[in-house]
Amino acid sequence: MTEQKCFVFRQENCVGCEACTVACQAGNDLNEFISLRDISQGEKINSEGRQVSVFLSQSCHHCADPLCVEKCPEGAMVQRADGIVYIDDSMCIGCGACKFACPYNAPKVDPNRGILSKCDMCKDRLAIDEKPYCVQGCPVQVLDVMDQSEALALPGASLSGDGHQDLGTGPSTVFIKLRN
Amino acid sequence: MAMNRRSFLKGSSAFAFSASIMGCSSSDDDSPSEPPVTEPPTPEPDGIFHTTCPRNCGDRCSLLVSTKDGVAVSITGDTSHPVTAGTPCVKGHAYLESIYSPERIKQPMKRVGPRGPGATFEPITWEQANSEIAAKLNEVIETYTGNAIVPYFYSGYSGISASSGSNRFFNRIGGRNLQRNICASAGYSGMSSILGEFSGPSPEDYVNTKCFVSWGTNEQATNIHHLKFINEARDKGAKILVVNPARTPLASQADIWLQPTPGTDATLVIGIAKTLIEEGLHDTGFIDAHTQDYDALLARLEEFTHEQIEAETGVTKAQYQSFARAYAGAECAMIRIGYGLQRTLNGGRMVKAIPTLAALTGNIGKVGAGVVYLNTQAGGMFNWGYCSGNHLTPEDAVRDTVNISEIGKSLLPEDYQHEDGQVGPLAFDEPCDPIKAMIVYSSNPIAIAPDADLIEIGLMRDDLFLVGIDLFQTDTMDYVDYLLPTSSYIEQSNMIDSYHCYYAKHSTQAISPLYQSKPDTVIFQDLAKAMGYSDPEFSESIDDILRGTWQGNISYDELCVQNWDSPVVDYPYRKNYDFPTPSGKIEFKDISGTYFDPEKFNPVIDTGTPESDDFATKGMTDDEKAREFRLLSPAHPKLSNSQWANVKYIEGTFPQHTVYIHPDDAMRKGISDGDQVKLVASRYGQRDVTIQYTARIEAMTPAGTIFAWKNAWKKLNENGSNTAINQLTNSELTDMNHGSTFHSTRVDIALA
Repeated sequence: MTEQKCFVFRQENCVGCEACTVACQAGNDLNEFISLRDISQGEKINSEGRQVSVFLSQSCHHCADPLCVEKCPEGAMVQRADGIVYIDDSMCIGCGACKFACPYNAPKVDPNRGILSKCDMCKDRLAIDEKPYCVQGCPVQVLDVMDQSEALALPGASLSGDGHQDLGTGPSTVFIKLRN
Repeated sequence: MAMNRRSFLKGSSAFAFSASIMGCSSSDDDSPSEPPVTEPPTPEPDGIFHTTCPRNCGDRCSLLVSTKDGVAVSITGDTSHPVTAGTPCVKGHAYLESIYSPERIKQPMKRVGPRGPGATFEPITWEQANSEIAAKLNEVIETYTGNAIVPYFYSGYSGISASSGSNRFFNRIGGRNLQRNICASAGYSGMSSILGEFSGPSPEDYVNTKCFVSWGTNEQATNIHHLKFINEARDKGAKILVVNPARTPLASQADIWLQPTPGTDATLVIGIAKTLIEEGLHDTGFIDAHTQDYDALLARLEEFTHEQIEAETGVTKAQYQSFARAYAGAECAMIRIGYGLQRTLNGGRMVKAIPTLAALTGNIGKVGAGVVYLNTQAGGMFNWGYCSGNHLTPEDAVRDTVNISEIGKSLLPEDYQHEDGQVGPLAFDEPCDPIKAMIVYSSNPIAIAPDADLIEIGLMRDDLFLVGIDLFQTDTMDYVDYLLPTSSYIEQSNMIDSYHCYYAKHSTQAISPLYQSKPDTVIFQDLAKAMGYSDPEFSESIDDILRGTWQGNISYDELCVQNWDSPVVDYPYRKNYDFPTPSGKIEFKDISGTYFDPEKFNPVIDTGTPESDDFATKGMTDDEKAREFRLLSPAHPKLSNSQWANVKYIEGTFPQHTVYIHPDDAMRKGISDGDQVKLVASRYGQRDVTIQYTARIEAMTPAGTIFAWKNAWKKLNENGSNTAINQLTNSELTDMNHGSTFHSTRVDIALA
């Protein structure tokens, strides 16, 4: 069994600049009105009791039990042995079943092509030892990809973060939190 | 927006970096070459070229441009650069979309209808453009002298090749000088008043600090590459302290965030300094050895009670005491002062106060310590006089100066009646000779300068000849008589210095100029020749200009291969405590009169604010003070001033024409999220100026202060009102060094 690949996100250092989202859009030549990675801003009370804003950068979480794969009527949503979930464009009919199944809103309707589009962890870049556009494009260096077992062994690693938890599909993203 | 913006782009996503990085062409021939100025060199069609981002940012990203068949197919970070590393900021990711935008101005154009929004233009040839513009400018010079012609430019494209041609041109014609103090100038004086200089340590030293203080800056939008240094320091145990009235991302992440009422930073410094003294946290050895007028400082601190400081700043004693303990308790502490802080009437005085804390605690002259403002070390590697052709200025030229922030006053019609009885254009509150022609390049004053409506009055003058040079049809370009297409930064070579970390960088031309565009230097060279100037300085190639300007540690040819060079700086900065002040020490008290009038402002720490001072001592006007809310309008990460606003993946993706209102204020005013609101300010000449924005209810600032992103375009306002933030902002000048005062603006707000 190949190791599950995952995104690693050091949320406590993310400032929400959206370099990751634009790097993804430009690198993948996306229609300008869709993005496969999004930043959302939330509020929380920090360890000292102060209300602070936090940023969540998320794309497809490449879940262990992806509902999108299960619900796709055409078999167009594929889970690889290394856990990367991607759309086989030649088989997608644009029905949107994956979009409605995904609890993280990862698949997006691509108006250019009339089919769905979704983060594939830049699998073609990974194949030539390049990091995904979002990872390479973060000037604060808060994103990475690696084998999940390796990521979970990092100090402060966890499978949940601010605004993110397992909604039943086994999302693979690993959050790193070293500070209180 | 057109759907085929990237039709030029081919196979960008999987281009492998197999070719070697190409530098610029080298030349061993010292004899003057034939001027190739109107036909810039054609780069190799396939390659990877090292370039440097020339926009208004001190990070100066090292970017690799990959080309295929003469078309740029990717722009990525040069992983070998120690600061900008493997990636640009968010804007840089959309660089290709900007360069290959279908909205680029493609050929010279002449306006055929009325000036202003919706103006129509017809294409003309470069020959016609140069001939007609040259004839008009020569006529102005003949009638009024070159002093009637002013450049308006700032940082749209910075560096040597970007400025050489124009600077030489305006020197040669003896043009009006433009005092370009819109960014950081009040702080130059504030820093220099106490430290003798405004240059300081390198941000690369942040990794060594045990306490990082972010004072009046937003790392999300400005110098984002430095965050990795700040976070590295934090991982090694550093505390992060933030002082900012705005709730920046780092304010949320910080160990301590002080949120002073805007304009009260000097009073806050007094509170922190009092704490240092009261709790014995100061470094008496350092103070005795390296500072002057400590007694005067102590006496000044005594004039304030903690109750008074709390009331004025809105920061509690407990909060600033915690700050003082964390700052003084660190083995070494580094302060970064932002520029937004000082774009206000008391900006110089606030910046002057802050280094007091470094001096009291000995946090200067050692690793991981000091005060970072703006660094000029790398700029010393260029011979700016050669670049700009200072020798070209005619000996008998009379050249007045106008200021970039109050250009609106200087462009007013000759019969304009001022409230104080003066008539016609003004500069620095005095009458000035009329400006009869203006060439706008590397700037977009209607979007980036304060009191835009006052500027518009000038731009609408029939007797003002206006030439614009730009990539795009910006708000300003709607007023010009002639519109000339400039080339983007990858279409020409350049050299440029970082003004934070210590690097001077080369940038290699990667593609030929697109369409009929030309680099600014070539445009001005051709215009000079069309006007009859035969000086060889107007026939020098860009490569030769760069070669002649370079005076670094390595040869120019080596620079082209190495891509950047650093000056030799004795480090840690000021480790010998040789401060360039008159006394050679840090001066807590400044009665020199060099930077400000000590009769007007307290020479130790002056705590006047725009709201508390009289107009004569750099306070707001009474009309301004009567408005309900202070307005802050700082930078958004997706814009560099007004640039990128119209670019795919940027335009429409952030709340550009939105005002952030504190929930308490919103409730009181009956304003809800998403409401259309009118913001009204009192601008020069008691004009009520109104813009229409979308309300967002969020505590970005303390109640009583509202917030919007700076330098938005009027024509991009989604509600169709053709209004934007700099119609509201103040164009008076700072307490020191004629800086901009965008943040000394007060407004009323109501539902639209």
